[in-house]
Amino acid sequence: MMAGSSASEELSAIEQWKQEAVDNIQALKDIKKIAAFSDTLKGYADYNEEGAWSQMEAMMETSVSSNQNTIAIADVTVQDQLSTTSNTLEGSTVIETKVKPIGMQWYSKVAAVAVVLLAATFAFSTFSKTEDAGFVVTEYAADSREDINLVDGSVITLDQSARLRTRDERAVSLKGRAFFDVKTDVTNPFEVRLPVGTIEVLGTQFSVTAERDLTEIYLVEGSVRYTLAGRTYKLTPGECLRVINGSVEIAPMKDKNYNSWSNDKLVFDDNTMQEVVETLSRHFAESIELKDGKLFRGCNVKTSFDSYDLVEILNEFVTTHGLQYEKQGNKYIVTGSKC
Amino acid sequence: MFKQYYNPLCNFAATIVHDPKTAQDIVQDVFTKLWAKRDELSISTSEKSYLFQAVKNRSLEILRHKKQEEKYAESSMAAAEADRISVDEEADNYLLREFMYKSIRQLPPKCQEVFMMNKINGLTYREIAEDLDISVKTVENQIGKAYRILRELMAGRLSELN
Repeated sequence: MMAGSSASEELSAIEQWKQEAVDNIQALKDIKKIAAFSDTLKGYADYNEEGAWSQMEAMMETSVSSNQNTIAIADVTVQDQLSTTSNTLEGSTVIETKVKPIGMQWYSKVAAVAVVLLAATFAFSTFSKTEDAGFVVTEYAADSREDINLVDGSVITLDQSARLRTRDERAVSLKGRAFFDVKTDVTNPFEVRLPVGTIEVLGTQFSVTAERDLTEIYLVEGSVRYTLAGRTYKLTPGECLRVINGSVEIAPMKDKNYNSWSNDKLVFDDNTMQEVVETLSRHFAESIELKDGKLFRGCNVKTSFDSYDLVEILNEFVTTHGLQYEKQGNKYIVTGSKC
Repeated sequence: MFKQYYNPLCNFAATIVHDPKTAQDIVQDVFTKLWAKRDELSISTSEKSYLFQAVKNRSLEILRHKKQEEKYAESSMAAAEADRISVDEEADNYLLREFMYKSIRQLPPKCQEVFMMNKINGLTYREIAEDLDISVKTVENQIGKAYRILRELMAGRLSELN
């Protein structure tokens, strides 16, 4: 009796052991697979999906209004042909060669066609692949300041995190900040599309800051025309055009160092120490403070720096203006001067 | 759809272009294009295949433009164009990687840290032991523990692992 019971217990123990062995073998196999596959994860990263999604949402919301914007630009182009026979955007130029003007009515028809064509081209070259467009569409996303040399000889300096897309030899799209040195070609104007509005250029130097909520165009030399919602604005050298919430303002540019980010040149022309410190803070993206603004009254600065770093500049002021400064953590504090 | 595919697509693009920022831009562009053409596009294949194929095409296109400037681009492009496995298989692999990655993120903190250092950052057991000031034996134990927990977390998808 005892023996029988022990035998059946033994039997079930063996069964259990066999089952466990099978389980263990299965576990081992699974773990081997997991180990092998997990080795392919090297460098796998967690990308900022939420940020990307909010950008998508913004894009989906504004795409309706940007279409309206495109239509407005097309409209103005055709009217421009009427009055000045001036240069046109792609799309409408195609029509110009095919249809002869017969009168006002013709223009309204062309406008309609141009709208469709231009809208199509817009969607097309912004989003589609190279071979479709027949031109090598290149996209640049600058990690740091970068010069882009275009085929036509124009040079575009992109600031950090600016994005540029070449659309054809004389047309680009820009988001962010950039400085343009465009080769003159009177018969073939250069076009820059911004999130808000479009710039048409003959040959010139200017800088652009183009975000959804802020557009700034500062013309250094030459001439450019900016078009937004059917209205065209002309800029003369030294002027800065600003678009904030859809309203356009043009004013002379007072800040001589507006483009210092692109050429590393800083110019001070009888500026107060307060202004100098503000400019330096912005240019070097460092925190610099005057301990007491009153100490520097009558201590104006008239000098320029070409490709200096911040410490070199401060030390220069130590020599020329008896400046005293100290570094506290990440901050530079200017404590006094001898002027 | 965006939530499900965004991260695996970014990782896929990053293995081709070797630059996380460009990878993100590529994926964003593909989704943007998809949205802009939502009315006219009839996607004959699955959205999964479409997205992975589009991201691959766009990545290769960008590599082509970079080719002159950067040395790695050529070999990287050759590898990606060689098509040893189909985009569909590639897509499934990346979706599975994403699933495994999410599972790893659920491991207990110490265990997760050690496992990530080994698998994602490619550190050896000895390097991890030195970094964290623990014994190699402890590292081995944590990795073993991670495998056991992952086996449970991934129970439903083990059959997809080859």
